[in-house]
Amino acid sequence: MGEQSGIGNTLANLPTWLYFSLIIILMAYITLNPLGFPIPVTSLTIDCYDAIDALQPGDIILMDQGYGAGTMAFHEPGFIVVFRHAIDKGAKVVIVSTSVESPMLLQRAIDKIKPAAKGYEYGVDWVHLGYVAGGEPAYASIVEDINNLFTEDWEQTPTSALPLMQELGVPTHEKIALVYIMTAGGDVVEGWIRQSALRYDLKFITQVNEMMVPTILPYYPINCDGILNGGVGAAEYEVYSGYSGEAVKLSDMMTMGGLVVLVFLILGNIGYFMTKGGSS
Amino acid sequence: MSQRTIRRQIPLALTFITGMIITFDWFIKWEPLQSVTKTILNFNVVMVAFMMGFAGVNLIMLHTRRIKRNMSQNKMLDVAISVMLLACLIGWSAVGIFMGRSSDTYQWLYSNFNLPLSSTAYAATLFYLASATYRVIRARSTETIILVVVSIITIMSNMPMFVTYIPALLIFKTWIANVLVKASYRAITIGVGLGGILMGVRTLLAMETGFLGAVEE
Repeated sequence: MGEQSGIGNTLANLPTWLYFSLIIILMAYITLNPLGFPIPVTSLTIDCYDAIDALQPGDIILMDQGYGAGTMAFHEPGFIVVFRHAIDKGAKVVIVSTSVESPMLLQRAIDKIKPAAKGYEYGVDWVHLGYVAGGEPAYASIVEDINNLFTEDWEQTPTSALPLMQELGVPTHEKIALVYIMTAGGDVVEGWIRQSALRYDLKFITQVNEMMVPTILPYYPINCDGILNGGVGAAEYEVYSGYSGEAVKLSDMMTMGGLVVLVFLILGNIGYFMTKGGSS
Repeated sequence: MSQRTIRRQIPLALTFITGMIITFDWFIKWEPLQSVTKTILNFNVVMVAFMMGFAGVNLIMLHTRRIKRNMSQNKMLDVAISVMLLACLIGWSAVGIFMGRSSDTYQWLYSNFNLPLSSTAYAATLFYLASATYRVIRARSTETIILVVVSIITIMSNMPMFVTYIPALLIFKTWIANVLVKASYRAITIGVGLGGILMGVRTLLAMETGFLGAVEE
């Protein structure tokens, strides 16, 4: 029993350096040697795909590219695959950012999407309006009259010189076929749902961090038509749509990250039960 | 005009009028009302942007005072941190203002400083997440046993590998999400919504005046 509680003590009190080192080694290994775990597709992702797939040529998508550098690793692949799908459907894209640093991250994604290669012309088929402060009142203003709020785009070109912006007109929501929000902030999604899906019955899909999904689920599927579950959702979208991207490559790392947490959760509890047994 | 009128009555009147316009606009589609609402919403955007600038000025004042105080106490590391913060704040702002937010220099600064630092900080959370999970989530009682079991199912069902080989995980996860999570979060959301309505009505009726700050009666 003493030996048992000794092992239990060891398991329950693993030194921090040990599991931190283990995490580094495992993540480095999986980065260098991807195992290619299969990726099953969930209904949340299929609903997102269907919402984009139902778009007709000329339909306008309003995207809030609201991710920062911290969550870029999984938001960017989602943004890229949805944008590519939208291009293939002939939909037009209006991009705004409700996160201060997002506009600086857009060019990276655009370099990978290459809309110009598909004949997508800036100002006619897609625009980038940049950052807007103000939270929910700003979202209300965007769906009401976007030209009144943005007088110039991110590159400081007057919106009056951009044909797509003129196409939006007043009220803007009448011209928007779909709203797609990428964010790591819970109140952002709820604000957009209230101002677009709830108020004007617009179709709405979102990509959020895995931990945020439960907070969005109450709105699904009535006010929110689909949810991309972080990096896993982006990987599922890539698999389902057939567009190859970075999310599938990152999927192994996400699996390994989860596996590490899972192993320590189980080890900690085994150790706890063994020491509890020893003391009793 | 008395101090009380300026500091209390006028802000409360403005709150009431603004709140009523925004509230009515939700229910009534009337062109003049929509026009006023649009102006108020845009004004909010300008105000928030102004507040961000104001926060920057406040940060400069705060750290200037802190540098003086720490220098007198010979806390040179704290001084260095404050100086670094001010240098970044002022330097970055100057580049944005004089060279443009979409200039190559501004983009270079972001891509080479903010991007790697921010990504690293976020990636480091895996270590803390693993550490916290290992140390905190222990099946000490019936409630925590349920928590541990649900945690294991949720973690496994978020990993594509497990879902592929154990399809039942997806059924469990869907059930947890559609029944337990939806029900509890909907209850919370409705509760928060009702609380928000109550708070809004109280604010409009000047029964909540905390947002005015400390106003002498």
